[in-house]
Amino acid sequence: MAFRTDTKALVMAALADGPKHGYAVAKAVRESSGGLLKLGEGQLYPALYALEAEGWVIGEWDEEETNRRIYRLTDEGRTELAGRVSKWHEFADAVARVLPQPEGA
Amino acid sequence: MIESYIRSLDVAIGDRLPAEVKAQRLREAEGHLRMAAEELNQLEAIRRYGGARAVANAMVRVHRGYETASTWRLSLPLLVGAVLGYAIQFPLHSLIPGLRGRGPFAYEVWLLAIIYIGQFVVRVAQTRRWLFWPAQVERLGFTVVVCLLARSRIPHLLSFEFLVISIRASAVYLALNALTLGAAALADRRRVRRA
Repeated sequence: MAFRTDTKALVMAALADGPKHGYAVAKAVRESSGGLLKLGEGQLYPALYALEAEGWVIGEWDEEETNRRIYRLTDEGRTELAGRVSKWHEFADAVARVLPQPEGA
Repeated sequence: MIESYIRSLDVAIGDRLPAEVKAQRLREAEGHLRMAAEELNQLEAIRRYGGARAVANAMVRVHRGYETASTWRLSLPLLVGAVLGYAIQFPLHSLIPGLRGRGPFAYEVWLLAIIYIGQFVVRVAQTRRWLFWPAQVERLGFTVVVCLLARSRIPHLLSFEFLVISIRASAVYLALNALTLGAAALADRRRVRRA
């Protein structure tokens, strides 16, 4: 893709409908995008840690599965996500107005 | 295979993270790979996770807030840029008619110095490291090589005009660096202290 992906927004969006561990976040992004967006899974965790440092997600170890850390979106994270979603749509609309329609559409 | 990957990740992180943080990161990575391997296979799970060194560097960078590799290595792209820029002067000088006969490198040297400063600022912002001294030493080394080559192979580089312009451009470059990047250095040091 020529347009830069906002990885943090994708991760927060995947967490918006409920807490998940990292693997489930990667899977949610892949499946929601129909397989088009494949986050480098090893790079997903640094993104999660950065979000955690910002206070936009909180990570806690799963009590049942000791090797899994469950992440959930905080209220600040939801606000941040809403802002990013709004900016993204503004950007996407602007690009759509400039680009021609695909052939056959 | 997963154990081997986790060992590689452990080695790649080294002592760049506090022991407790490192143990948590490795534990989480192992958990992720085991989940992925149940669905795929170990090899594919590791492939999707990415190279141990890249993952380790990203983890360290997020934790500390700045790039941790050697400043010498981080400043190498600047040297490559300087070499390319220098090499581009020759075809430019021979291709653009207006530059011919006006004396070599009158504008190019200034232009390249400004481009180099731009590159330097971008690289410092990207890595969040103070690359001033390694970049200076590498650039000086390159200049020495060019001078040696010039002495033996390119007679017009020995012109007095070229030497004067080079010295002036270097002085401007150093002064601008000192002024505009001093603040970046202080900020970098504060961040390193906090980390």
